[in-house]
Amino acid sequence: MEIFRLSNGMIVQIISKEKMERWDPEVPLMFIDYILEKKLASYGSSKDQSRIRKYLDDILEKVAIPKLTDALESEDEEERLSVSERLVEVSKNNADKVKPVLKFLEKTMKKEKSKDIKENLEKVIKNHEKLLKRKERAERRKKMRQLDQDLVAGKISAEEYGKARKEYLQDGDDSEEDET
Amino acid sequence: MCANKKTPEEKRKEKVIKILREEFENRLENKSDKNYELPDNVLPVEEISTEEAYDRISQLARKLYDLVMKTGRISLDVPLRSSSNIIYDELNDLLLLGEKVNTKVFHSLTSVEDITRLIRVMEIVHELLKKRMHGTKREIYYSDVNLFKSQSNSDNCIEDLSTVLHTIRNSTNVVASAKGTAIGRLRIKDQNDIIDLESMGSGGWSITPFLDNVEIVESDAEFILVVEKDAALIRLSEAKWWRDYPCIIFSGKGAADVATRMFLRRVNKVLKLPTFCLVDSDPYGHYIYSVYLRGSKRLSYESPFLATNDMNLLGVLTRDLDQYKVPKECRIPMNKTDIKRCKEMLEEDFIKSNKPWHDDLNLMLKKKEKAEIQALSSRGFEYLTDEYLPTKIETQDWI
Repeated sequence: MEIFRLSNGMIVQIISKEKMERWDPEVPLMFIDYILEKKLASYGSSKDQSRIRKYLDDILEKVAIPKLTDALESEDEEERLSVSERLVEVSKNNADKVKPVLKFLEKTMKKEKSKDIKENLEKVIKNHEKLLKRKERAERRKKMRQLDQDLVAGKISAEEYGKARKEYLQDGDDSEEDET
Repeated sequence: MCANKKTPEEKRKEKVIKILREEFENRLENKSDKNYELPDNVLPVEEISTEEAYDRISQLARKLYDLVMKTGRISLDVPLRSSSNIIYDELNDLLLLGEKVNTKVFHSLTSVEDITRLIRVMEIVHELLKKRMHGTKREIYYSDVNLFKSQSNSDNCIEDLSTVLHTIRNSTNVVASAKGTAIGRLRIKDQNDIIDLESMGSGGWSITPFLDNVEIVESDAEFILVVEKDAALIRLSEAKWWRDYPCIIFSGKGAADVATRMFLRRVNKVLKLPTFCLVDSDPYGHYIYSVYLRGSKRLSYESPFLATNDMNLLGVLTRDLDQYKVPKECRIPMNKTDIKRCKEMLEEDFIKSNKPWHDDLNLMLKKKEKAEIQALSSRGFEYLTDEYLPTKIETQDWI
């Protein structure tokens, strides 16, 4: 285990890179995302967190990407197909998990000859794009709601509000699409 | 100004954590690491892969077949698992199986039933290994009820086969349903799922018998607390005790099964965490602790894979009953079985060699009274979590 002594006195232990070598190709990626999303914020100071983030980056570079590269560049088409299918599942559940390997997937997709594998990799990338769009829309809606409140509270003029509202509608409020 | 002043409870909590952290740091620096070198006169047993187990069982079958063809009169040496072949290894503090064997001949009326059952178990295990599947002890019994007659017979054959193959039961892909639970600051990988033992509800994570699929991936715990009873686990879980005192809590719900002991040992070794045990203040509670600590006689051949031999007995000690003012009406007089068990335990070499433990059992025998962990709740429902456990750790009052 890798041991991290935090500035608040606590001790965090994270599995070593060597042990991850035996994992299925997509699992190190899921693990990195799990720690980033669920645990990192609880690890002491920002300095502690950046040390652990560095370790996760190291796992990404030395284990997660090489494992995916090996699997997706393997000569065994069945193996490539199976990994790409599992990546689609991962991206369906939480597309953020594939973010660290997007560039690599784009590059691999261009080289891939099998139609099914290509389609799967495309789905993974699209799932991530959809997620980005959803996040953007949510952010814009949040800002608009704040403007609504500011208008009622008299913090902004009707003119300012009208301008912002127009821009918002021009950019397209596809909240209905998002909710379906 | 006053807001920064720490309450006595906070100060005590800090002290308790400091003590535990020092223990933990000692282990991380390998100061407490024990080097396992087993004595020469014990049965060598190892954890092996499915492929290796399949090879070993196939070779055994081939050997028996060759003997039938050559001599027509065959026999099989099965390691003896009775008390006379159990060795207490003082150096490693483990109960181990010696090298004595019982030769079972195929052509004798006295052993023909036993040997037929053993060969049937061999056949079933061979199939499991070939298909890379796991089977439960119960399933094996039901695969030939008329032959086995009772599950204890098939269970004995499963254990005999493991010893013949010089491996542990788990390596033969035979598992037993587990009843243990773990909860607290630990994250594991079970196949490809990451499981957080803090987010498994108030009941905790049910320890799986398929431990070969499980890997420890992250933890910020600084000690392990093993409790005998589910009731104590519920109390600790409801208080989310691991949040205040960074730990992982285990319960075997009585006498612990193989999977619970194996998983506890793994967590203890991988994370190098100080480990404490909380059992009832009675001979059976002390026996449960002893099984966690150095293994059971029945599965002595598996002890090196199941025992957590650097575990401390935190409570409830006999002396705690007076020290923590457990009311007389919550104490129960020991019955004949308790007294007999207590006397037997006092005669065990591993207890004789541990003076504080021997003294506590002697005191129990003298007072002839016992009490459950729950007796502490006579002093309030939060007494266990807020007073008893922190005080025991703060005063380093463990065996």
